[in-house]
Amino acid sequence: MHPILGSAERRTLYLASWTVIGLLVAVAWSAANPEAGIVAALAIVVPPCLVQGFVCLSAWYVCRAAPLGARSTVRTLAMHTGAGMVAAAVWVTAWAGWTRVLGGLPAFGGIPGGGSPAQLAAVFAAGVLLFWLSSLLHYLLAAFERSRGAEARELGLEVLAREAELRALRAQIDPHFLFNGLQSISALTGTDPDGARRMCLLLADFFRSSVRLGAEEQVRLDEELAMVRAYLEIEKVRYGPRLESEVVLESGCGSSRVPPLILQPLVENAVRHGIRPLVEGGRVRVAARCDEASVHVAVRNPIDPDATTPPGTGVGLANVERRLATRFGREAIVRRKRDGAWFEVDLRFPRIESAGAESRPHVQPPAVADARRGGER
Amino acid sequence: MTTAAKRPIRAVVVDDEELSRTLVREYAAGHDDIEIVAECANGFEAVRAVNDLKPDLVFLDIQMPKLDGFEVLELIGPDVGVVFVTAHDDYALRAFEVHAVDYLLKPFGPERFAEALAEARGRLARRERTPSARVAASARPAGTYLRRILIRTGARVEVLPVGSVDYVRARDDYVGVVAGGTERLKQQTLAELERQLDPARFVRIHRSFLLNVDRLTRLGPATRDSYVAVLKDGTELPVSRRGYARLNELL
Repeated sequence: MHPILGSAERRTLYLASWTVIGLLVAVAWSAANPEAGIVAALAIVVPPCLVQGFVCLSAWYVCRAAPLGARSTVRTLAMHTGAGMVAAAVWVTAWAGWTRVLGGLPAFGGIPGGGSPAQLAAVFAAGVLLFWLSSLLHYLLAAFERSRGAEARELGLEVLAREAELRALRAQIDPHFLFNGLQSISALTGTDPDGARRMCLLLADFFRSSVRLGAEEQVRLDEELAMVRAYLEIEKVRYGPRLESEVVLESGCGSSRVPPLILQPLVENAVRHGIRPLVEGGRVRVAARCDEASVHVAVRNPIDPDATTPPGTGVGLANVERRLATRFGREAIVRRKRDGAWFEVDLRFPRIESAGAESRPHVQPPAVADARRGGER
Repeated sequence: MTTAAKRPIRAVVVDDEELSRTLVREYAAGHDDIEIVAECANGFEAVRAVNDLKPDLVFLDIQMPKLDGFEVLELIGPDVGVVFVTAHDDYALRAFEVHAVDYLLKPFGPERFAEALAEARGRLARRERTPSARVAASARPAGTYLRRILIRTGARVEVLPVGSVDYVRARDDYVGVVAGGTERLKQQTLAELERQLDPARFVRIHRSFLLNVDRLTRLGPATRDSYVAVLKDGTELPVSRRGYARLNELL
């Protein structure tokens, strides 16, 4: 689409500028031909100017054929000069024809028909110059439009990425977890008000840290495991003695970085699909360890060996896999194992320490963060 | 309520969470026309309790160990009113299809509980029953096939994974489900069960027989117009001409 013809607003502006150019040229012309009045000057000059305005719109095609930087400067200049001369020839012809037509009319008697060669040469030069101006205008418009398009695209991409991340994070915590927790509180208020208060605080702590960690790009492994502990604590109120848990962190690993809430869906699955279908319940075990290069987390839970019920839709696990893959590519490995009465999900991904190999500079290394917290005190 | 309300409603609470059962019991204590006669923590216990105690009403959780709420409903039959109690709202449509008395979403308050109870009183007074074919059909989510067949003998419930079933035969108002050489009776028609099973696995080889095709070893002619299917354990089953065509189409 032509950047000027395509928009009504720009068409009007463009026409207005050419009217102004026409007026200026008319003033110049009447200075050169003082014997003709200003009215005659306007009549002679403005119509050919409007024709030239129309012709100059074609500069856009030259600009499109020779985008800035795509060809050598000499070649680009040559193209515009050539096109400008053709346009100027059209403009001179229109000028000469129009003055001859007007010269034949009695009201314009005495106006030199067709103009002198010197005058026509000046008109020609003005024509080329006007065309070049128009080329410049078109280059500016093209650049403007390109940057606006790029901006919109970038914004669109950012929105998409953000949405995907938010969706993934929202999916980390099942809303029914909240409803069931509230049901437990409601039940406890009648029989065990202290227990109800404790449950309120557990839920509040859990959701507060989920919001805080969820906003980070990556969190410390020990923070992530604290979330897991809080979650299991809440589920224990619900399931009673049926749920036991064990969360183990190898010493020295706590400062490794992990995507926030990456373990949440796994522990949730362990409770929902592992413990809940078992009449006697069982123990959920989360173990994290690491070596030089990688972090290894295993979530293990008992399952009903005879169960024929569907093991869930696998949305949670798929989400975890996708998030790890976006962050670490092929370096992240997710394995699920089923042996008899046990189910285990193993995650392995590159170890990123808080300081040093920090790939995202805007995440505060803890040393700095601690210092800042110290400063606030 | 009039004289009909003199006898209290006898109710069973089924939920795998003790706190949830406590809450229903507490709310029920505020009404003098309802009596909680049993609490159950899983589906098996629920079927046993309903069989032994013949309650009027069951407060039934949906996600539970062993049997889910809809499976329990299929097994306890149409004479008991059911109020589903769950944190999930996505079962509401299925609950509506099986004519549940009400559907309580956790967490719920005493007022909501009172409404459910009022609805139950009305239903019991009108002696409305839950149509059982609908219940059986809704025991599984729409668009999926049965994964296991539930068989109840008195208070005892047996769960047969469909893969363990050799064949099913029609026996008047019942079907005989044969697995590992033992036949168990279930009150259902063969056509109804056939609709619930995966047609790529179970084929109606005869008016009275539904065969698990994994069990078939050989197919031979019996008479001019009929065939015989020989199973892996040597059992021979009659195959009609249409059954033969169906088998051929599948294999």
